[in-house]
This record gives sequence, C-alpha cells and structure tokens, in this order.
Amino acid sequence: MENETTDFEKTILPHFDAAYNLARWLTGNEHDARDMVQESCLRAFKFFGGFRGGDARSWLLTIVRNTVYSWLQRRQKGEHVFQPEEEMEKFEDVSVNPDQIFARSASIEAVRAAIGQLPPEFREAIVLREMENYSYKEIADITAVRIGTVMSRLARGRQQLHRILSQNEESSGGITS
Amino acid sequence: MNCDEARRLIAAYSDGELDLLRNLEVEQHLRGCDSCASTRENLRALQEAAHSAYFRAPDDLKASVLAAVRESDPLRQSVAGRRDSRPWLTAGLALAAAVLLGFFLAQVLVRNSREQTLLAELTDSHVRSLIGTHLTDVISSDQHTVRPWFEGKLDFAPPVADLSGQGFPLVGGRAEYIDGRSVAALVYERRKHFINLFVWPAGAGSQEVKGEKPQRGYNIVRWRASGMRYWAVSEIAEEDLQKFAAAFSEATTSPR
Repeated sequence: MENETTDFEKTILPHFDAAYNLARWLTGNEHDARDMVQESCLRAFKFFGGFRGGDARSWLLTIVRNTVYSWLQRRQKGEHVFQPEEEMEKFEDVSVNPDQIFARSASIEAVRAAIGQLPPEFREAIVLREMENYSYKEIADITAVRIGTVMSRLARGRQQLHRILSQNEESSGGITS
Repeated sequence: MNCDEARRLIAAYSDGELDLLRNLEVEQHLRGCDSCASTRENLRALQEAAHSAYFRAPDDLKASVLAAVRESDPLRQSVAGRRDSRPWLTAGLALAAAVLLGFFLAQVLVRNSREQTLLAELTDSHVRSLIGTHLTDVISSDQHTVRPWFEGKLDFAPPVADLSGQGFPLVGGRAEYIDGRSVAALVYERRKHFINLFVWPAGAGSQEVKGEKPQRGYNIVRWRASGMRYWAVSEIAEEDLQKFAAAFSEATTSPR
C-alpha cells in the first residue's frame, strides 16, 4: 500500500511543473492554478489504478485540462468557456511576417501578458506546443480536436501573439523617442 | 520549392512535423531566400519567447499536494492508524456498490420517462393529424411522388412503399417534429382508418416489430431496420398494425 503512493509519486512528480504550467495558463492566476493542481493530483491518484503505463505527462495534463474546464464551467455557468470557433481544416498562410524580430527584445512579462490575451483554445495550443514541445498529434489527442484544428489554432495563436508584441513594441518605442 | 510553398510549410518545418524529403526542400529554400529565412527567424524568436514564459511550480506546492494525496488515501490512513482497516474497506465498498446501483436505477428511470414522453408525442401527433386539416403535406398514393417530396425537408431520405396490394394504401406524407428532430410521417389507410408511420434515422442494428402499451386507446408498434427507426400509430387493432409493419418491412427491404 505504501508502494502505491510511491509509484504514483514516481509517475507524476516529474510532470509536476507541466501540470502547474498548464493550470497556470488556463486559470490565469497563481491562486486558482494551485487549487487546480491539487484537485487534479487527487483525481489522478484516484484514477491511478486505471493508468496502464504510457505517457504519464499526457495522462496528467489531460486530467488537469478536464479539471480546469469543469471548474471554469461551474464558475461561469451559462457562458461557455470557449468562443465558438470555425474549424479551419485548411492550413492557410498566417505565417509571421518578416519585419522586425519583436519577440526577441520583449521581456518575459510582456510575453506572458501577450499569451494571456490569447483566446483560451489558442493559448492552450501554444502552451502545449512551445512549452511542452508536444507534436500536433499529441496536442490533438490531449485537446480532443483534429490535427488540422491544432495547426490552425497554433497558426492563429502565433499570428496574434506576434501582432500583440509588435503593437507593444511600437507604442513603447513611441514613448521613448 | 518557391516562396509560397515554403511559407506554407515553415511552421510545420519549425515544429519538426515534416517528412525528411520536405524538410530538406524547405531547408534548401531557406538557404537561398533571405525573406523566408527571416520569416523562419521570426517564428523561432516567437517560439523561444513563448517557451521562456513557462511557469515553474512554486516550491511549496509539491509538498502540500503530496500531503493532500496521502491524506486522501484510505488505505494508507488505516495502516497509519489502528489495524482495523477491514471495516473501513467494507463500508467503502458497500457505499460504492450503493452509488453504482443508484446510478443504474437512475439511468433506467430516465430512459423510461424518455420513452414515455416519446410515446405521448407520437400519439399527440397522430391525434392532431386526424382532427385537424393537416393530415398530409403531400397527397399521393404514388411512392415515387411522396419520397422525393421529403427531399430538402428532411436531412434523410425515408423509405416509402405503397402497400395497396396488402390492404394498406399510401395516402401521403408530411414532415413532423418529434423528440427534438424533424421526422417523416407517412400516412396509410386501412378501411377508413389512418395509420401514421413515423420514420427517422437510427444507428446501425435492427429490432423486431414490437407492440407498445396502447396510448389513450391508440395502438403503437415499433421496429428498427436498415438504419431507420419506425413507429406506427393507429386506432386499428394491434394485430392489423403488426401486419402493416411486416408488410412495410418486407416491401422496403426486399431487393428491387
């Protein structure tokens, strides 16, 4: 019995940061992220008997995601968490434009603020791709959408991120000059 | 590879999602094209920036979560406490069993009340069609007129057969709204009495013709065949209604 908790700890502890990071980005603040991580880990522990190996990080992050979304839904009853989104299966050209490299000079705070402004489904795709380094297929599995949808969310998320950071740069440049 | 193609693939290239051949092609293009290379650099900078925005878990969180997990573990608690873990476990299992049983009961009840609502809806629709002027939208004993009429009114094509030869001439059809969806109502006649046959798509699988409890004096039989769900409602005897169902099934499933 002691072993079960130890196995559980061995399984999830390496992914504790990943769980917190996702919860932090989906809730938008530290306080709720802490609660969500705790609730997710309790759930994960309860379901641990059903976990048959495989990718523990994806397993844990899927639980975190479900926990956060049901909490958000409870909280904002009536309003839906996601904006209705047209699924764009066709991968359109929304590549980042070759003007200045804004992102390089941006501070972490500015980048965090910019990511925070993204619609949740874009934010989630960016977090899983850029921070967790998941493949399109893995993101599709975790977020329960098609790969084409993942690609379009990523492309649009990156485009918006670039736009927000460029605007920041322009406005702060205007003040100093 | 030209710039248009390259630009479309740059994201997938940066994300390591291209096959080897495509990967090489993009790489080659980037070496020779400053504009695309700078797009790639921008994307890389954006990715690095996003990566740097990672939130590491606060140091104290790990300990407090693990404590909460250990506390939630009934087995560990009982081991840590006295040795009487068995009664706890038994009570827990009994509770779990009770919850499970309650869950299944609730499901059965919900299903039954849904069925009841559906039967009432079908009967209402049948009665309405008889007392009003709206028995049929399309009046025809010709199945080749009735069937195409439904096109564009429904999101499925109901099978239609004239059963005059079997004593159930086709009168016509209308579109109805039952159980939250559009359904086809086919109207047949049997010695001055009408039969409403409601049809809508169902999952795969089939179900024998089965009589339901009469609703307000109307008989109802149901069956499922070739992806459709059928409900026939009429004041004619249930035996006759069963005959009608059999005749309809035979006419719509026999090879043409």
